Amino acid sequence: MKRRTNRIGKMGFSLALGAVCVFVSLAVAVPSQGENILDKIEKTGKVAMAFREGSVPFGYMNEKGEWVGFGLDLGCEIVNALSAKFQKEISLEKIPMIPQTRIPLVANGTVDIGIGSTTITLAREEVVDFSLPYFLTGTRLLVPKGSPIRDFPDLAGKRVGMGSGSTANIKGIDSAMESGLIKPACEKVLFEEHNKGFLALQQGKIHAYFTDASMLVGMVAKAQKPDDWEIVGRYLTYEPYGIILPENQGEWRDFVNAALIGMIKSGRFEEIYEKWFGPKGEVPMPMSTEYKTLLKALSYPD
Amino acid sequence: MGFLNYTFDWSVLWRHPYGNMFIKGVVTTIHLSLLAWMIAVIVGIAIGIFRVLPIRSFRFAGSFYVQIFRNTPFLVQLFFWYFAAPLLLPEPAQEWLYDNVPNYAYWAGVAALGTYTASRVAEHFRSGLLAIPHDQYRAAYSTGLTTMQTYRYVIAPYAFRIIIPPFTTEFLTCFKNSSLAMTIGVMEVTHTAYYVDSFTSHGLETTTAASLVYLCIALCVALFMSFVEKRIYIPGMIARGQ
Repeated sequence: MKRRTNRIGKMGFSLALGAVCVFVSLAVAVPSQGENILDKIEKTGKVAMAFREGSVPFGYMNEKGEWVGFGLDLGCEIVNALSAKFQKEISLEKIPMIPQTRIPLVANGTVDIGIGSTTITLAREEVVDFSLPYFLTGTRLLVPKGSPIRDFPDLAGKRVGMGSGSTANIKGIDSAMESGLIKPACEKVLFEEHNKGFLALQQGKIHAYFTDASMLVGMVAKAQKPDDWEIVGRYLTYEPYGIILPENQGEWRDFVNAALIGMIKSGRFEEIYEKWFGPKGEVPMPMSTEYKTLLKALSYPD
Repeated sequence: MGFLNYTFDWSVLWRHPYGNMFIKGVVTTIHLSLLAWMIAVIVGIAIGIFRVLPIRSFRFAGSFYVQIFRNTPFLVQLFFWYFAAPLLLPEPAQEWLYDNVPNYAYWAGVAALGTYTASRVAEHFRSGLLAIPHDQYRAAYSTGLTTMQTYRYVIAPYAFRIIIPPFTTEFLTCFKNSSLAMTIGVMEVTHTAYYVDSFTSHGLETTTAASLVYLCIALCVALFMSFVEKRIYIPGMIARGQ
């Protein structure tokens, strides 16, 4: 009897190890290795794009349950450019992404392109590629109206919420604490999603919420009483957003960049910006001078 | 070593500053689960006893507790303890709580995991008590023991031994369920794995490490419990496959 129990024990152990291996291999979907994405799109007539579902107004569900946003409009423009290039209808396959999945989805080839609200960082550049920066914002603070917190130094000793997937933000606040801008240090409270962080801010669990100004404006716009909130502080860091593209797909990246430049030069980009961020848009946010300069710098001649 | 375009870099597990994060994550997982387990055993046994007492109101309270905590998803209970429970307090008390309890999320996680596991422990304990043949009670009473003494000296020692296997399972599940505390921001080992992944894009290494941590904890717990089971074994009580 004793021997049998041992054998079962050993089998159990190898089964457990096997389970770990299976779990691990499931985590990597098989990437499309080396195939030229433009050729693939022409052959299949399909392009797979990932968008955000919970990032107002970059990609979100509106009251009618439709999936809309700034990113989706840019995606449609790129699809139109593809259709024009190949002189045939290219169909768009939309796939949702969240901050934790956006890099893997593109890196493993599930989608050809990811358009959300993704800051270009050097660390991310090691795994994926980015288009030219098409959006510029910076990190600021969301506080209840009348809060004593006016700028980053006021955060000393306070509890500050931020998104756990927003690595650029976390690094920004870490270096602000190291450099002595926030002294004594503040307590970082991490949230999976911005809306949970906003709920905690409403309940007083945290004193301020820290992320990209464009996100904060969106959070205020969706609040029950937008007047109870204000966005304060200097830009702690600049956050240039880029479209996520797979590594080593130079032609595909050139094509996306050319489509972006084309939109900027034709004024179509400004129209789309106005639609979402203009005075009548979902999230009114006038274009900053820095952002305007960036768009001018992107108006490459033909 | 590389396959599927992916280059493994196991050094993310010990490299500065990630190594310290992992150690902290493992430690957090262990003491969060152990604290929750202590709550679960104490509350669970009390509720289990409530459910078999010959007093109706106690039985009702016990079954009310079990039905509420066992029949709602653990994830929802976590959100309840983190987001909703403090709202039941008056506002100054809420402020005091957030200002004076460092890491409120951690304690919300302990409370949620403890009370949830307690409802399951209570059911196992109750079934342990019910598994004892009625003749044992009668025999104990006939020797002149009071109800309290009957439970303390005759029933409980048997019941505890009967429920050791299901307790082992619950103890293991308690460790594994602690990973859900990441949804309210507790930096336990699964959250650390995700967190380091978001900085390094080496999720395969970090999730594998987290899985192995759970596997190791589970094996240790199983070994410990089987040691306990052997140690307190009463010859002839239950047929064991040995």
